[in-house]
Amino acid sequence: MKIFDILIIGGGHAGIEAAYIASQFNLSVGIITLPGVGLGSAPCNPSVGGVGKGQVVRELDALGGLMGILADRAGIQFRTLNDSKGFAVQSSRVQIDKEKYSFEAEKVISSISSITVIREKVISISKEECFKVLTQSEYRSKKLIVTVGTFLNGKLHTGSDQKSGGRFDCENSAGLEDLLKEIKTRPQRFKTGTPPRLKKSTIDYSKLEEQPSDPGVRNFHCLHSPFARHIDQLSCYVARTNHDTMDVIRRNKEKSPMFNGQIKGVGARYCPSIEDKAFRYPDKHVHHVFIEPEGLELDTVYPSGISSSLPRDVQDEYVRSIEGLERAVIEIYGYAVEYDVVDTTELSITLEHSQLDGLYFAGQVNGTSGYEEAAGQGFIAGANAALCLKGLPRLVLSRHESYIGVMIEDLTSNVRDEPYRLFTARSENRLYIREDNSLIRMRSYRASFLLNLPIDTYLEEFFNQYVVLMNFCDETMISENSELLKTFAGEGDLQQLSRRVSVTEILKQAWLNPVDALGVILNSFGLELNYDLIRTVAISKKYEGYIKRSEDQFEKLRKMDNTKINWEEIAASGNISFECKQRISRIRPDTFGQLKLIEGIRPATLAVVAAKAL
Amino acid sequence: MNFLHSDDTIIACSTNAQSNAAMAVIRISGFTSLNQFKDYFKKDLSGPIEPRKVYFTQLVLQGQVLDDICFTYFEGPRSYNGENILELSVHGNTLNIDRIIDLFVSQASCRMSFPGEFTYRALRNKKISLSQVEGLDLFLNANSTYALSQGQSLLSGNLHEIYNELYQLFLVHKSSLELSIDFSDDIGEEAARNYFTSSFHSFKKKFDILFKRVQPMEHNLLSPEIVLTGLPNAGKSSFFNFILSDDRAIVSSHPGTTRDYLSESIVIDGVKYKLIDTAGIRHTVDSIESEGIRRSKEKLLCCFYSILLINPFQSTDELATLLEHKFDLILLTHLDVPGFMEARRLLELRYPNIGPTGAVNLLSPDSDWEDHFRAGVNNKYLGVISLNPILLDRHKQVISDIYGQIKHYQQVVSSESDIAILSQELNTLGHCISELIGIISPDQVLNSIFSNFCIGK
Repeated sequence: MKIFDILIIGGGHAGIEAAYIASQFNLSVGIITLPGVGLGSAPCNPSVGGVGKGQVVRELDALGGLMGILADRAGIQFRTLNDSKGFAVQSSRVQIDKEKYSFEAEKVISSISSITVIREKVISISKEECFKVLTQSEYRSKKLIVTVGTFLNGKLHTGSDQKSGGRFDCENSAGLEDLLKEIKTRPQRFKTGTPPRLKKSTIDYSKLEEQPSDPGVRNFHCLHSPFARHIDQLSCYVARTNHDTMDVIRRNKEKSPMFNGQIKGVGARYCPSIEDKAFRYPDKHVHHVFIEPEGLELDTVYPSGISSSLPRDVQDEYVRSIEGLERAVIEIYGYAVEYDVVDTTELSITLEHSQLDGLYFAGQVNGTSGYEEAAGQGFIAGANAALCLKGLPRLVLSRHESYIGVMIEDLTSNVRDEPYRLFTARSENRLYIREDNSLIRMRSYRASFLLNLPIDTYLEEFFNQYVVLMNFCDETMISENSELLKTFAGEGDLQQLSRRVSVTEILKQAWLNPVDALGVILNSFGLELNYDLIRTVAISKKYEGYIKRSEDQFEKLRKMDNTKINWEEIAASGNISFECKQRISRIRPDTFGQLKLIEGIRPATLAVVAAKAL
Repeated sequence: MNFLHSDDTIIACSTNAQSNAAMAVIRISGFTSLNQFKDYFKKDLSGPIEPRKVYFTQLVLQGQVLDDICFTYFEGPRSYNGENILELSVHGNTLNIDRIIDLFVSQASCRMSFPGEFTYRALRNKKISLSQVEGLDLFLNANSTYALSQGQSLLSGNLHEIYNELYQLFLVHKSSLELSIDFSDDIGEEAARNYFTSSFHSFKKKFDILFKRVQPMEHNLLSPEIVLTGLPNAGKSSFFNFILSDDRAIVSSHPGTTRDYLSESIVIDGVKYKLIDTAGIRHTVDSIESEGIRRSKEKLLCCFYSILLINPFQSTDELATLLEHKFDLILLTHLDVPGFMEARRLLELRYPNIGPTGAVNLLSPDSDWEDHFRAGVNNKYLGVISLNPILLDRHKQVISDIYGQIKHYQQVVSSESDIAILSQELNTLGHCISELIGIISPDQVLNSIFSNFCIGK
């Protein structure tokens, strides 16, 4: 028998993130994971980051997390999404070599002496004085973090073939149910799916549109040199479905487990399978298919956008109808997974279960989708378990300062009808929660851990310089006649700056790229500063006024949101839709704000309630 | 507003208590049991009283009969405002009404209700919606059949439905923007752009229809004003009295007789107007008169129908200034004075842009002129009503705010490529729109309603 401070069941993205942060507090950590599967494996698309998710990875990195480090080291294609749409919504996405990613995860974790990786199958979990986890041996711990992904009663579907398990290449973690039987799961199971994997050499790339790696994308980890690439870079390619492709799927509706009733779980609207696309948008035939390499050595590619649980022969047929994939050979067929999901309203904002002290849940088992969402939760659970053991204040990220905070609050305050994914639209404070200022946003949270690692020193230094440069912008005045202004302004633009102005005012001009402008200005003063710092300050200044305004509006809303309502009366009242009533009865909101957060509540209902809830 | 959270038993006369009438209705609301009034009723209130049934009895105080009355008991929540309500039909002498209310206030711990408090409780007890309250107010205080029908439309929620449709279209546009941030990879840039443009177009189209309905903004259709203007001694007060068929205004040959404006109600084709006689416009050192003149000019700017009276024998620079305003009707007075035709011609020569004028003899006015005037007013009213205007000030204000926001937003769209900033601007617009349907700042709405209007069923 071995005793740990913290035991983590599951070595996926949530599990390793929890272990990595907990180990920084000098606690003994055990990760119990299925034999034969590497840590931090990527069973779905081989990429990290994306719109909203890129922000999460940078938040994790600034908090001392692991994901950014691994993604940089395994990155084979870098892109900035929404590049032309403004700084606030720009997000980085990195295609990863999945073997390399897992290899790096193993390397980092095994180098930490306080973490023990146990590759055994869990037979039972129980709790007396402490948690007792039985495998072929017995382990005990004060805190237990459950990150079992899709393995709670997981079931795989490919056509009419069904088998239990959470993923294609490993067995079901049977027996996980002992203590977990006491845990309330959502009555509705969730479902997720993956596309078939294609043999790389059987694709005709000449017919596809190439998307090369962008050397201008910054690494996630703040201590990595921003543009360094750790391994060779590869391109992604874009293919498109056509009339024939969709026809194949529509002809085989009866064979689709999702449409013939075999799968009862709910999938995500934002991540539709190719069957969903075919039947939900009957008039549309052209859909993007992104051909993403799964690694430098691996001979498979991931065709993103055609996930399916159709029988094998149908998958062969529709894949080959796509231009460029006519000779494609499927190495692994697509499948859907159905699984149970923990009722996250039973969790506190630290992801600890409200009835079972010391038991935490994180990752896909909480009904989220995405590696980044899983890692974010893993970090919150791991950090809070550790902080609690250390007697330090808990870690709660505000939803107004981070996407992780948005996610945790959304998850714990509200039952979801479908797998939860982060979008920037979920945040009320999008202009502030950006990638460029993640170090500034996370600094005080990280500081509250009272740790003194290299990243802590870096953050402190970065922040001090940030304050100095922010003040410099407010206090330094530039004359309207200065040659400096003319260097970056056209004739017409300058009329808006026909007086002595501060640097801040210059940076707010809509026609100007604030980052370039601040660079030029600092140069003219002979100041040389960290480029990341200049970038953060310039963008912060540009948005300053807008952020202030949005905070004012938010203040008004908050007052309204705190208004108490009587959900029973609302659910009983005559003039709102049946669907809304059902949702209200299920969630039982106490305030107008909670009512608004319920998914699928119609504005008409809000209006009715607002008018009456006075 | 101190009654927002009050649970007092309140009382008020629901019918006109300012003058004597055959009967009056007094309402008491918010009591827990009829029993607490048993001392003042001849009928035994502790016995079974069936709700919504009329009983005849007598009101008594210390053995003395005050009045023969009928009463009806409405048991909450099945009552107008959800509370227990007792309605007394009493004789409508104002002294009698006062005496009965006084009895309940001094003996039975009732409190005089604040204006609108009965209806506020209906709102609080979720019996009616905010729009319905506004509609009720319009319905009860309507000065025309048009206002009456718009009040009804609000009460039944029709106008609210239009606001909801606008909000839905706004949400579609808003989501098109979110789509291009979070999902442009999935649907492609071009599709996202098209969706953005077309959704704004549908939203704007819907809004423009609504905005047309608030454009006659400069005058208040709930109490439209007809203003008489002119230089001193032009005959404004004579015309005023002539229209009212009454010697309401003091008329003299002394210029500057009317020093402040006078107003009286007149009804033209079923619509109630205010007819306003103003001080003659002239340069003066008299501070009271010059204040009167300032107020007269103000009235002119926001009136529904403006009339300029000119004595053609008088011609000063002030007339030139006055003529810069566009009048609905210009009348030349002193038709009876010899040389009128010549004077008129000279006037027209001097002010070639004066347009068509009428002439009237105010000493013996003929009724053709009155008909002409009434038809002019009514035609303008019908013209405005045909645009189906929105009458409520709060709604007009919000719709105008939305108009301003949309213009601003369009300008930002054309100059700003940062989509997060666009989204921010769109949020501001969204707040404006949700005010229209009452999602935001309901406190303000309520305050304005319950402090400005006396409303109730």
